[in-house]
Amino acid sequence: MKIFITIFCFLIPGISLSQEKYIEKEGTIVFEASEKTFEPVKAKNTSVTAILNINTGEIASLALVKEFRFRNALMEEHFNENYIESDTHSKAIFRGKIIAFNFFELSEQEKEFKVDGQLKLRGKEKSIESILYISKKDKYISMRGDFVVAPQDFDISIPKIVRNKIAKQVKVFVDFKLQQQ
Amino acid sequence: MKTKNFILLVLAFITAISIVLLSYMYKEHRTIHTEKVDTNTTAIEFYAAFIKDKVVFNAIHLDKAVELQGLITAIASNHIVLDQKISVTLERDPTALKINKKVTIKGRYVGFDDLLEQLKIDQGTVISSQ
Repeated sequence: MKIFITIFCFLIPGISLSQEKYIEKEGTIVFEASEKTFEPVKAKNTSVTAILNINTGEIASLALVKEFRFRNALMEEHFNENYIESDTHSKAIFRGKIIAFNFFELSEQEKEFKVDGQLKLRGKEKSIESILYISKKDKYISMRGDFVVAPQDFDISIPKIVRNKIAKQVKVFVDFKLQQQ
Repeated sequence: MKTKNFILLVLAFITAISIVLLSYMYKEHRTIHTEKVDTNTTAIEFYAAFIKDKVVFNAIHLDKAVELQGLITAIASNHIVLDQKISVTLERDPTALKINKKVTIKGRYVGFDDLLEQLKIDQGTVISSQ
């Protein structure tokens, strides 16, 4: 009997730990820094990871830089080699918290939540404050939102020759569908 | 006549320069499935090499075409997982594949996902499957 109680005691934390996490492994992030009349500067990553702790509202998301795909191959090459230097800085990580997150308030209707956190890229951190639109349907939590960053936030210098073709503000769009683990 | 030839020569030169510039600016994307592979090993050995020395591993393999053999431990809508440690985003729908079957894939190594603790391969193609 004792052995069953011991096993049960070990299992309980394990069960609750897995139930509190929702994970996305195929999330989408799109960023755009296009200027009117020039070729669109836009890239998409459809393999973004996100983990949400539904008890605390803590959220972490990771995108590998090389998985951002541009329509123009040369643009993709310049982005990786000259701007982000993805051979040395291979990932972008966001760690933050959804403010006043309450799992039990979620429904099929999208609800606005404030999110605060730090985005780390090229060894530099930038505070991000934004709004996430979150809904829940069946076993999925969907969230979408956007925020703005600037290349200089991450010490990225844009050469003069292309400066007027790349917007000073880069708009980032996020679209995740998390599933309980 | 001389002037006409000169104009033709200048036009030919401008055309040639334009073609070179345009083909550089709008060059094709890499096609990983036709590239020569940098490494041909098992998913387990590939991951073990990463754990042994992450810096050296990335210096050797990052952005290179690799061929890996492994057991499919998960299948999602755009990727599969080999031996729980290598996530491979496939160019084609992976749903025809089966869990617990051996598979050989080719793709580009793009980095380590700290959240999932998996190495990631993109632009993957299935070379052979059980």
